[in-house]
Amino acid sequence: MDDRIPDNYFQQFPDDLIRRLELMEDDISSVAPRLVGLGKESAYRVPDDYFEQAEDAILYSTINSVGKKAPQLYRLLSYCAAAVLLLMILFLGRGSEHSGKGKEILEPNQLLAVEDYLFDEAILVELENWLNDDIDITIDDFSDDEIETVHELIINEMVLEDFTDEELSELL
Amino acid sequence: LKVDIEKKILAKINETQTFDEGFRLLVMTYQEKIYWHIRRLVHIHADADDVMQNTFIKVFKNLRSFRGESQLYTWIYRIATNEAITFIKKKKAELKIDSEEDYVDNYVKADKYFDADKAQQIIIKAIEQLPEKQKLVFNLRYYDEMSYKGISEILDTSIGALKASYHHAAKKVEQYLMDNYDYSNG
Repeated sequence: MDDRIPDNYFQQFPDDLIRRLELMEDDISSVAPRLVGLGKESAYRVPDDYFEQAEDAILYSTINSVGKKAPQLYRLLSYCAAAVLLLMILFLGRGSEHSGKGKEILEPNQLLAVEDYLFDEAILVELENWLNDDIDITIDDFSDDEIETVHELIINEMVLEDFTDEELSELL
Repeated sequence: LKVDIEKKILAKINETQTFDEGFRLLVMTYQEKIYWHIRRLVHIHADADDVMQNTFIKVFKNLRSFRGESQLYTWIYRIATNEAITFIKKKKAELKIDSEEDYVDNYVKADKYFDADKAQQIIIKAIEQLPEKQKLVFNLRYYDEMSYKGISEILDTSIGALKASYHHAAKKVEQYLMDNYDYSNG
């Protein structure tokens, strides 16, 4: 006869017993036979690998955000967020030629510098993925100061790599 | 073993050097259960995702002040429950929802991660009709199969009242099914 028992069997036994007794005690099959008959199958689905990604996102929003270097994906996303801002400013700059809105009009070489940056392949791929996820962001989401800062950044032909993650997140 | 894991998490969290490790273990241990609890309250995946993130951020911020007066998992469930209820109330108010059925028909069914057959839709609507507390008790007991002791800690209600609440809820859901589900056609 096999006299082995599962690990922690006796420690678990009281909890398991109480749970079983409770389930017997409040068996609802007599008051809700139709409900019980339909079963408990869930109608809710989640995306593939959702829990792994959600765990990363939670840890990034909490422990990893305190004085630590962000994972590569999030660094790229930061750059993408910056790129979106740059794009907006770019369009704002172009729009201002017609609407008169905004103080400065970008010079062609400045536009090229921004476009060169934006069309960096890795950033472009991430940016496209991000935009495909129905990002809901408009120029109105940014303060005048933020817009002015990014505008300055373009005017001076600076590149984002000149900024630390901390500075970028402050900027955004 | 739930108790052993909680002890392990708390031991790590109480030491500054192992705090991060303890929090990581906490997220790994409870994430899925908390997600499904929230999802049953808010229904839409993207909403459940937002609420879950906010829940764990709140847990993270308050973890050092957790006094161990209740079990860790019931404390986390309490935070998740409050977050989900606040979220869904605000959302329904913003959308000017006329009825719970209206919310399921016009918003929940549009979620690409919602894949309910007729019977499941009716059950979800039936549960949505319940008063808030009965809904919580019903979900925690029927779907999560949580002990009354655990539910009692989360909802701060006596076990006797919870048992009565659960049976009332089950009867109401059954009545809704009788009135709205055609068994001959499925």
